[in-house]
Amino acid sequence: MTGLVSKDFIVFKKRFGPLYRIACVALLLLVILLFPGEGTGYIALCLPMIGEAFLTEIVKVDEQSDWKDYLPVLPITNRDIVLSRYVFCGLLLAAASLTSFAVCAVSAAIHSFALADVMPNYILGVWFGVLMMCVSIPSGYFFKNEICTGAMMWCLLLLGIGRSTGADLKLVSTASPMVHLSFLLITVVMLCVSYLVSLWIYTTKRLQKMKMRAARRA
Amino acid sequence: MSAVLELDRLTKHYPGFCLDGLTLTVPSGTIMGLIGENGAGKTTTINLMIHAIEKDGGEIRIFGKDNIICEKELKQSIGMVQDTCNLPLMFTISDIETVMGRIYADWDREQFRALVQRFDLPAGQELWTFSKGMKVKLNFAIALAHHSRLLLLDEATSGLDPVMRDEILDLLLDFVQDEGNSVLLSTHITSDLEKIADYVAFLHEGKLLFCKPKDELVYHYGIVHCGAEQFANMDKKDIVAWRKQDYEHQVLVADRAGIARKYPGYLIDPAALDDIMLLYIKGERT
Repeated sequence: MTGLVSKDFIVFKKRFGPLYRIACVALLLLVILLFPGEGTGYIALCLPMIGEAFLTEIVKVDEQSDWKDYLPVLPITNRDIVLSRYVFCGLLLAAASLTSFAVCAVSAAIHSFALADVMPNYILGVWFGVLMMCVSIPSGYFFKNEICTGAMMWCLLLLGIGRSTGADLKLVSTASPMVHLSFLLITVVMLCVSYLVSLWIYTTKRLQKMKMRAARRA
Repeated sequence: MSAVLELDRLTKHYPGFCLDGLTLTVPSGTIMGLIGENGAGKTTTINLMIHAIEKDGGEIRIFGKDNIICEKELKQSIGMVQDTCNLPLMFTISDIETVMGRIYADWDREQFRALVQRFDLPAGQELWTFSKGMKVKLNFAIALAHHSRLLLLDEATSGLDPVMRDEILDLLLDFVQDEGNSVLLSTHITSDLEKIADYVAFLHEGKLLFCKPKDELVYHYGIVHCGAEQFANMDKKDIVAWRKQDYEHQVLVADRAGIARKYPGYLIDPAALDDIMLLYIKGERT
């Protein structure tokens, strides 16, 4: 499985080269320096989701090379293949969340506001990152890259609805620990269901594809 | 000689196609050629071996183990080369080395580098700059760099120029010098098989027509060129397959020397694998 995760990271590294990464850091610094408060909150909310959005590029590269057709040759199971995608996305989310946290912490220190002020946005950002992962991976397996992007748009729409009603921030900032715990449990269940659905889709689609291809050749 | 690969009554149905109870054994230390026209079931057979598709019936044992139950373990010892390269096109050879080194437990970095050098592959370039032949060579390097004991080649040599093909054939001969190693080579280029194969299995419309030692086919089979009268005088038991051409009958016989003695004056040529294939497919069988 580590081989597959490495493969995704190599694709990621090549797709987003040094210039792109420098531009991202510059943008974050700009936000830290020029937009305290609201700007930092916005970064805290968006960065984990932006991290997850890179998945579409990985799916696109896989499609271009028909990587799926190469996988049956390798000593890996369907479970490894699907799980590796979740591990990769999880690591991506962790990296984006850590960066986001660092941005918030630095901004709070420079502009003298409490880190707790941006924490609801940060938690929501991470949660929506997880939601994006849960929706976009099975979508990417079931449909194609475009629909994977589409699934992410639906998550953003959900975020928009929550933001416009204020329900999201209220849930994170005022609810009791029991609600938070339930929320966490729901997230774990959501991840497990998403993984199982992805595995089922991947296995079924792969068999269908091979069947069609072999029938065409025959 | 123990069997590296055993197919036992292997069955797979598709609309309009049926791989019909294929039974085949590849002994260790040998190269088996799999021939047949397009759609005969060669790729389906190989896909079933690597469990890329589900079988409908029968059994596949590789190194004596069931190919589905021990799939992950067996694939560590199987090298597969196709005529396409489905690796990410932005990868360089060193990226492939990194990924494969983490996928194969027995990945041999030195061997991979030696093969890359031997095949003259540009180490720093991305795969999208590679020609088709270079990609096939890369597939060979990957298949051989993890100490595989069984090579499955699906039309792998078709994209290579004659010089490179010859080099690959030499490489395969070296590979089977180790008696524990075997090769199953599905190809249309029957001249390759005449050079290196120990056995030839012929698939036609999902059925195995024969699996024979190559030497028996090349040294014993023959094509009799005769007129209608001479053909009529031939014993039907001596005929494997025949077809009527404009000016002659072409008759495939299994015992060239015996036929020459039995029918003096008949013109008999040695049969190439192409001729055998052609007469089996296009001719009539007794």
